[in-house]
Amino acid sequence: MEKQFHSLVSRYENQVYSLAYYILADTAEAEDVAQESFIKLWQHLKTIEEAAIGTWLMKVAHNASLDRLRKRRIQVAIDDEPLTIDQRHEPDMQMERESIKHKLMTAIHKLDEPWRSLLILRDIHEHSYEDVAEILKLKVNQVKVYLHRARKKLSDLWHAENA
Amino acid sequence: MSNDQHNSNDDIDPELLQGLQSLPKMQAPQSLHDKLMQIPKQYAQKHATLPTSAARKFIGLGLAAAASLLLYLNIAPQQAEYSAAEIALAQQELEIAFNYVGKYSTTTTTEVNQLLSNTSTRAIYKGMLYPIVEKNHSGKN
Repeated sequence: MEKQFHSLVSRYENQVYSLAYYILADTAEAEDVAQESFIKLWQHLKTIEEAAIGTWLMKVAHNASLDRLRKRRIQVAIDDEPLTIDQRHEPDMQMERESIKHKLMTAIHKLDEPWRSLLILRDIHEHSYEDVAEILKLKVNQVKVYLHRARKKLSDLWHAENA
Repeated sequence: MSNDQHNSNDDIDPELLQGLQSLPKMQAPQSLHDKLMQIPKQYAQKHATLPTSAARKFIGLGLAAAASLLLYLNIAPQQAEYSAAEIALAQQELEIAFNYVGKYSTTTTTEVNQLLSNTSTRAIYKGMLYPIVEKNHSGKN
């Protein structure tokens, strides 16, 4: 079982960490959420169907991230974080593109739930509609409709800030 | 990517969508990876040395129950032995008591039935004829 757990860590750690990071915009908190999620996975590993493990983990990480966000009760300050990502992953990126990403991150974090999670799960992490529906406890049709609204809201924010 | 996504992507600025999709998926730092890999060992160690709070409560309840049982066995008086004469007397007293209860239950049942019958008849009679009876009564006065 330990071997199986290790292979699950290797397979899902980036997804879980990335989801938590995009919701919380804080590397330390994202690490905490990832740890909490994998501890829960270890505790419940026997009871979860293998095919459902990925979605289960994302659901746990998503809920844990939102819990932390609620407890924080302050608007996330993300000024430095997106630039940190860009420097780390794409050091030769053009300043203009960096600026677009920075503004996008800021705009995403100004959205409420579930709009923010929908964009993070679907547009950034490219999860299937079915998985997004499962993680957010919505129906697939709702995901599609809400995603449309989320993009519209993001677009409005984007244009308002770049007008 | 599915056709669904292409269809629903029509509602967003291409520039914005491109920007969203170009946001990097974060990679877990090596330190986190190491911590995650340690979870099975940490959990096992923790489990072996310290029982969970639920287990501790369960053990505590078991110990308390065992202690109570021992205490009761030590304190409880030994069961007394009765002679045949005492048992016969007790049986006789019990028989008298049952006869008494039987007799009074029959009497009480009869009384209750009579009372109910009278009351309900009176209530029905009074209810149906009350206006006429009342009118006649006031007319005479």
